[in-house]
Formats: sequence, structure tokens, C-alpha cells
Amino acid sequence: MEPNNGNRELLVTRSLSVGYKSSYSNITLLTGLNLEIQKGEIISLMGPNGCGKSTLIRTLTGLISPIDGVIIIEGKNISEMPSSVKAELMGVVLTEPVFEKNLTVYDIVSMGRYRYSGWLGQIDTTDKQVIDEAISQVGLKKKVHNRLSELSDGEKQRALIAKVLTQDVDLIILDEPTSFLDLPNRMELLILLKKLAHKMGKGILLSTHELNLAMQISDKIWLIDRQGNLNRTLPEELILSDILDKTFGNDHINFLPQTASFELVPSNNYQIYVKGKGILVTSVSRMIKRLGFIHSEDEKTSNMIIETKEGSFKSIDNGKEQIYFSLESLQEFLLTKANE
Amino acid sequence: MKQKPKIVFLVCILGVIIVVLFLVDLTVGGADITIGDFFNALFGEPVDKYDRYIIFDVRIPRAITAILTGSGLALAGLIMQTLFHNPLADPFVLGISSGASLGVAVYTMASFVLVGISPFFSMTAQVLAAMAGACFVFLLILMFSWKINHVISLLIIGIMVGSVASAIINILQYFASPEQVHRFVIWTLGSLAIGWPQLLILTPILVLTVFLSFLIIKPMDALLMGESHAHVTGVNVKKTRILMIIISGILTGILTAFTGPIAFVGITVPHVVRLISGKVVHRTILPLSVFAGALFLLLCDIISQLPGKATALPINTVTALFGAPIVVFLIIKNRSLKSSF
Repeated sequence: MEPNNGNRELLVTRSLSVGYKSSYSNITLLTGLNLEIQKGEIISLMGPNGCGKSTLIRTLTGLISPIDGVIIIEGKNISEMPSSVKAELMGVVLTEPVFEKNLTVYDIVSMGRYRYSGWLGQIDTTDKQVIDEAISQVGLKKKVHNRLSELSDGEKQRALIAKVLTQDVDLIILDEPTSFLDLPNRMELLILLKKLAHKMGKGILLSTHELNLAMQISDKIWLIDRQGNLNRTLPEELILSDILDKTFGNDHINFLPQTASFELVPSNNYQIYVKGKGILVTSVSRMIKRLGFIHSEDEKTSNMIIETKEGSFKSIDNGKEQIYFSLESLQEFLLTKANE
Repeated sequence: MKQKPKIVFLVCILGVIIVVLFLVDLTVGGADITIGDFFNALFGEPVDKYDRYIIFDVRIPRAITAILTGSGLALAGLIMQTLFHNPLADPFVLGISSGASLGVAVYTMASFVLVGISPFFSMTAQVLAAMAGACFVFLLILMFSWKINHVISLLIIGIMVGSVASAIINILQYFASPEQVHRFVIWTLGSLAIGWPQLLILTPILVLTVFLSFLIIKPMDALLMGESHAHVTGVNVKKTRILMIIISGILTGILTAFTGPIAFVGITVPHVVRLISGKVVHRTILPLSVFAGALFLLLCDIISQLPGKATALPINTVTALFGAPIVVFLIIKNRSLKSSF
């Protein structure tokens, strides 16, 4: 994987502006984008709602035309391509549900062979092989002949990914593939995408709201901030900079670089120090933050100390000691404290 | 590969039933004619002159018309259901048949406006009037479909055109004489009784259009996923949509012009076919709908002739009496309909 190999670029944009075109005026959401997607990398596109994520995805996939600038795939401008040629160069998984719920997994996946199949859609042995392979790659072998209405949201998403795999393209773009999935399904999907990028050399761009998961699997993050700038960073650079806090943070939420996660801003000045060992300390600390207290790192400057032991908790508040035998009764105490 | 023999099998069964019904259809009607008479006439045996006339110039054209009309309307209905992603769409949603009705209404009830046409009633003139009306709406819809990106807007335009047409027809009926109104009502009840000259026009157009529809089976299958999905799969959505409108429009326009607006075939048959085959992809249900449509209308024609010598029921009443319960049954029973709403 030599770094300066020019033909690893799958998609390039030149001073691209995206937005809505209406008969009265154009609304530009993002402007001056010089982006590129390379083989073997997985990129997550993130940003707050309404920042233009979907519009950018729909523009890159040719569903809407750019306000300005060009999108080039394998040396060709996509706005001059018919949809059949675009489908030869990139696979797209859209977020809107498939309309006809009575299509089977096999029906959907075989649509990926659209440009290879005969005029009636008939397929040959090679096509069948490719389709079977794609279906087993996404783990839907047992559901080949199930209708879409009989699948879970995760399975539907995987069927659409298998369809794209049969298109036999290097570039795959997915619009919010994780949005309707539960946590295990979200992780499984992202692991699958990572495998496709790193093992099969596909270039993958996905838009998502899953900050934590995206940072774990992505090679690059494209983050659109509130000012409409698209920041291209590595996931780790994101932790070091304050872009995330500026983009998603507000009066109530802070981004904590140490844990790479968002936390509630404390709602009062009361500092509590938690004493003890292991997982109990972690859970009591979480409770403190959730109830709006400041989690103190220093026993001496804190207003209150909570000692955790196996099976009980002790609060030392201005010398006043109290013992609780469950987290629930501790919470009750802390709630009255928070309301003082 | 698994489902392939199944389609061929179903098509064969439908084909055999159609042949049987075709022969049965020749034996029902005002005059007593048996299958034996038909074969005698066919192989040049001596047959009564009137019987020969009835067989060759009345019943065979009627049965062929039933086959062509049934398959054409079923196909047009199927295409409209796919175009609008709506299980209740039928060939008439685009308002093309309303245009034909308006044409006939103007001809039968306001022929004074048609300068130069003889005031005497003529079948040919009536068909021409219907075609003119259908053509007008067809071109209008085609023009809109070029401009419009949302297929639902097209549906609304079709419904609006239909409403305007029926409003004008109502005005015409209000001022027309009872005989004129009667003549128009007879046309709206539909009739498969058309002669060889008309069939010579109808047949090639229908066969050609059905063949054309086979060319868009593949893009229509992709359209089942939704238009954006079809686009990223490599389908030229706009071109496909316009071809669908052209095919369905030609079928509906020409069939309505010759036989009147025959309802329920277009909406019912595709659903029955989906239910029986368990498939939704067009490469299965399009050929099956063509065959099943022919079968359905032949059956309806036989039933319409059952009252015997005295009279025959109007074909449009039979299709509705048959079709409506099937639609209701399907709405209750069929999961594909439920999940589409």
C-alpha cells in the first residue's frame, strides 16, 4: 500500500457546492469541497441534523445535481453519466425503505446484476455465483427466499448491501445505514463494512450519527460543523481537537476527550468524591454526573464523599454520615441533595 | 431457476383454459350453434348460411376481442400499479379513458358542434371520436410526465382530467335528448361486439404494445424497489416511466375507443396473478397477467351471454359483478395489499 499511488482514488470532487435547487433560488449548504475517497478506506460522514449530510450523499451518488463544481469517478464527470454507467462505478445503499415489501432477498440482491442480466432480467451461472457469494457474505443464506416484510431492519439493510456487492464495484456509498438498527446490529453492520474496505479493498463512505462506533471503525472522519465547514480528520485527531465539542456540544453537553464521549454539563456546583474500588466506583460516579453533580477528583476539595463497599454505600456530608444498602436509596438521597 | 418451470407451467395451463373458453364462447349467444357446427364450418362442411355468418362474423371476432381486450387491460392495469406504487391503480387513472368517454359523449350528444360530420350515427365515427378524446388526454399526460418529477402529481392530474371530463359529460347529458343519452349510456356499458375491419386495426397495435411491454420488464422490476433505488441500480427512471405511460396509454385509449370503458379487469387480474404465483416481479406476473386477463374477459363474455336467446348482459356489468368481490376478497386476504398501504 504505497501512499502516493494516484489510481487508488475512486472519487474526487473539485470545488463542489451542494444544496437545493429551486425555481426561485439555490440554497447552498456546503461549498468549496475538494474531497476524495480511496480504495480500501472507510470514511464516516458526520454532522448535526440539517447540516447537509444527506444532500452531500445524494449529490455524490448523482441523485441530485451539484450547485457548482464537479464530481469525478475514475476520470469521468458523473453529471454527464447515464444512471447505467454510474451503477457500473459505484454502489449506493439509500436510507429510504424499499417500496415493494413482497420482493424476496434473492430478488433484491439479483437487482445488483442489472447491467449483466439479459433483457428480461435472466441471469447466468456467473451471476448466480456472485449473488450466492454476496448473500453469504452478509450472512443471509438462510433467508434467501424470505420476503422483505419477513426480515428485521438489520437484515433488510444487509440485503441491500449484498445487492451492492453483486454490482462488483470498488466504491460503495451508504446513507445512514445504521439509523434503524439496534446496537448489536449497528456494530455488526459497521464491522461488515470495515471488512469490505480492509479485506476486499472497497472504498466506503457512510453517513452516520454513531459517533462512538464510527470513530472505532473509520479510517477517516468527515465532520460537518455548525458553520458548514467539512473537516477531514482521523478519528484520533478528532479527540485531540475541539471540533466535536464545537459541533455537537452546547450548554448541556460537553465532549470529553479522555473518554471520547459526550457528557452532561453539571447543573450545580456541588462536588462529590467517590471512594472505593472497581466497578462500583464507576457506577456511582456515573450516577453523580447523571444527577448533575460535579465528579471531584480530589477528596479534600470536595463537598461530599461517598464510600463504596460491597453491598453498601456511605455518604460523608459535612461530617454527617449516612449508610445506604442499595443504589436506589443512594439516588433518593442525592436527588433531595440536588434539589436543595 | 427454481421458479422458471412454474411460470411456463402456469402459462400452459392458462393457455389451455383460454382455448377451451374460446370454443365455449363460440357456442353461447342468441342463435343455437354447437361446437360441431363450428368445426363443420371450419373444415368446409355444409353449414347453414346464417350459422356460418354468426360463427365467422359475430362470434369469432367477439371472442378474439375478449382475448385482446382482457390481456390489454390487465397489462395496462399492472403497469399503472407499478408506476404509481399503488395497488388500487387501474388503466383509467391517467384519465385517458375519460378522454375517450368525452369524445364519445360529444359525438353522441352534441354532434352539432362537429362541423362536417354527418348527423347520422356511425360506429366508425364513434370510434374516431373516442380515439380523438383519448389521444388528447394522452398527449396532455405525456407532456406533464416530461415536466414532472413526482409520480403522485401525475396521478392527481389524471384524476383532475377525469373529473373535468365527467363534468362536461354531465352537462352534455343534461341538455341531450333521451335517445342520445341512451346511446351514450350503452357505450359506457361496453361491448365486445366489433367486426373484422376494426379487429384488423386493433390486433396489430395490441400485439406490438404487448411486445413492447416485455422490453421494460427489467426496469419495471427495479422500480418495485422505489425510484431512487432503481436509479442507483442503473435504471433510467424517467425513460422507463414515459415508456410505461405510452404503453398503458395506447392500450387503454385504443381499447376504450373500440369496446367502451371496461372496468375491473385492469385492477383485478394483476392481483389475482400475484396471489396465485406468489411473486411480484414482472418477469413472472407480466406474462401471466396477459394470459389471465384474456381468460377473465372470455369468462365474463360467456357469462354475459348466458341469459340466452332474448338478450345479453352488458360486459361492463359482468366484469364489475365478478371483479368487485374479488377485489374485496383480496383486500381482506392478501398480505401484499395490506403491506402496501
